[in-house]
Amino acid sequence: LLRRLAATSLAIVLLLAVLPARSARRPRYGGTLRVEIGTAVPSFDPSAPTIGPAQTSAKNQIDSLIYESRDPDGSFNGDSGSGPFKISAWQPGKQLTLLANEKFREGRPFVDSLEITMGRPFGDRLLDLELNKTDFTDIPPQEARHAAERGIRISQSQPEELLAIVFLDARTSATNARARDAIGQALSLSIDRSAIVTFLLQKVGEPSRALLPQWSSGTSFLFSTAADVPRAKELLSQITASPKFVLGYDSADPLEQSVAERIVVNAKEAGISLTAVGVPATGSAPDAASSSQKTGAGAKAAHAALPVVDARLVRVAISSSKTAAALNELLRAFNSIAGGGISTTPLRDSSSASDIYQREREILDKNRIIPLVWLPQVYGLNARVRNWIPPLPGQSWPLADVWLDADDKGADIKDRS
Amino acid sequence: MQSCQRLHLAFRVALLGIPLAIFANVVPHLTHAQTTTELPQSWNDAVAQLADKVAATVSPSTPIALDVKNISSLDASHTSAVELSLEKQLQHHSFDTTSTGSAAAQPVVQLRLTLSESADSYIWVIQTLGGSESVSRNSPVIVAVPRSQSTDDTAGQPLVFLDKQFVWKQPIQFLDFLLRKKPEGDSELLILEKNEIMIHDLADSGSEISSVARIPLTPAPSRDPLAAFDTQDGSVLIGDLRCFNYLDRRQPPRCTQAAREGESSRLRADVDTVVPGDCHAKSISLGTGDGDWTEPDSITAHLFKPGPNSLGIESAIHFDGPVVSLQPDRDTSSARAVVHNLKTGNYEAYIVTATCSH
Repeated sequence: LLRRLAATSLAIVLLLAVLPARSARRPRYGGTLRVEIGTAVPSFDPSAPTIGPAQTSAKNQIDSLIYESRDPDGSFNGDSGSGPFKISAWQPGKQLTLLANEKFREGRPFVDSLEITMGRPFGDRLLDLELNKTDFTDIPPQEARHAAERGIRISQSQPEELLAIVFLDARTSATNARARDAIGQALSLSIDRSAIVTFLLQKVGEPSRALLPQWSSGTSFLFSTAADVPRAKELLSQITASPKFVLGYDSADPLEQSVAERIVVNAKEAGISLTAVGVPATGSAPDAASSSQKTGAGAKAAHAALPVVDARLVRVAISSSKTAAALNELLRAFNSIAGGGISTTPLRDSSSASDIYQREREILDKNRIIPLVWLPQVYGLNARVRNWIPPLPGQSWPLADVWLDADDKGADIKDRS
Repeated sequence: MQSCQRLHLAFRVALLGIPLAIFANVVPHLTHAQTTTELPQSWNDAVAQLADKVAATVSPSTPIALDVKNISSLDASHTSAVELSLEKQLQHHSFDTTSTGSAAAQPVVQLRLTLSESADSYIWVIQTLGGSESVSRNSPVIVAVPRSQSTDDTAGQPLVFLDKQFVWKQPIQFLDFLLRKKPEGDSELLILEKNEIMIHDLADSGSEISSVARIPLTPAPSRDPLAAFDTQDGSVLIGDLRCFNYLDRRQPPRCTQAAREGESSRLRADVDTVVPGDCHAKSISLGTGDGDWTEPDSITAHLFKPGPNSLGIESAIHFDGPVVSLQPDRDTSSARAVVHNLKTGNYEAYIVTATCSH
């Protein structure tokens, strides 16, 4: 009997020893999630203007934390603090502290608070992740591999941002339209997209000549990405004189700059006279470029310093996982950037895969848009961050669903105290 | 003599050739049969659609070579099955199909089937390639195929499974029942008899009666009383009356005439119902047999879309007596069935659940 009792007691002790270990994987309430972003946001008032797409994007992310819900048109509902978090402290453009909203209709967030540091350079954010001084930050796609090699935990979304060249109608005279069409086609054929992904993006991203990413449409593979310089030269030989073209890129975006410089090299190999010019991301462009910021489509246009720019390198993000809706949205954004001339007749949500492909083909055959690469969103995470799922296009960072593992070495001093 | 020897030789060659020919014809089919995975009907339809479109653009007299590339999450067995199905469909259109690289035939047209996928479905594409692989002679043929590969419209496999769970029995006739959780956590069983509702407080085990409460009702007398609990608004329908507050023991239930059009039709004589939820985009209907109340009965599940296109019986469960009442549950794909067991004479309560096979 004693042996049986001893065996039973041992079993109970072992069970009790195992249970806490298992329960540690369960969601845990509490702690402060520390977030660092590169952009400074001056105000969270939904009606407050933003300067540039990066600031718009960052403001939307934060607004989604403090407002109850968001309409399909992008506007936020409810009062400040009706979302999963409410503002506790705020230094405009520098530091924001949010507290969990105990009464949020979808349930209280797991973490007690969020500390968001703004305007932090990428190098500092990476270092803070390495030193466990922060929990979450966004990472430029071209830096993802470098960050991973330094031991940073990386999370990557599906490709959802298209890097493309858009020809600007407003800057092209009618007499040059035919030449531009031939040059557009020749330029597309001359670009080595694989090299852009392999060398400039360190194998992060998807070379593409399609308007939609492969995961969304399933037909991106039908648009061959292989460079064909002989064919590009053949096309150029059909026009009498190859005009000089100027490609504008966002001078504040190192990725755009390196891609633009690479395109110039490819173009020269094909005999296209192309120069790349850095233009400010904000301000001066009075035409289509400035209106592109207001599309709400995540458009990130490199704003030209003007008449000299014939085409622009742009980054346009989709904000819908539904294929037809994503294409509609992209076309609206591109049309806005190009200053018109791109068909924006919307496809129905129920459009067939064949219809969507035909629309893509029809738009691309006009050579106004040259898709280059589909880019993912990349995030750096502290090891103690649990339950993180990269958001789908159009979704906000799900920071209310994230919880912090207190046992992890990344736990900060506040949590330990 | 020489001609006789030649004949003999020819006869032997012919004899040898027959089994070889049979072997050559049979073995590939056996091999296919051994490795083939059954395709859902919707997939076969998509393959047929692809073949039809190829036939519309390519002359059947032209030899074709089929090349299959899978860039989707489909596994190898399904990829092979799709390829085989397409070959068969093309042969059905009198195409001479040959594998890529075959020396026996000189293919003029090369067809490339790419199995891709989008955010919503599989995308199957046929390209007609010219001399160079990258040059497509025609616009690609694109079909979207639902991802569900297990039982969607698969012939021979039921799409809905029925399960019955015994709840209660008693010798006194009852018309409906309701099993529900009380705020305190225990369950209670409401039995709707002809003139009253009995409330059985169930113990934690779910089988022990701890107390009984009777709430008298005053329905119009009937030989064939029709009554049921309405779980949507918490009322009880008794003939043409809709009664509320029937659980308030301090006062009698408040009853009104069920005047709204169609309201009393819930209590029609046919014992059948549509349960909430759908299965493969179709509604689930439960029906009973067409015998009278002296015969054993069954409940059958049907899938249907609005209109007369019932897809037939998917599944059935049997009882030792007639199903006298069948009412849908509000939140689940279940129904409450009252059965008069002819062997025991008892009235029995069952929860019948329809499970969709995904």
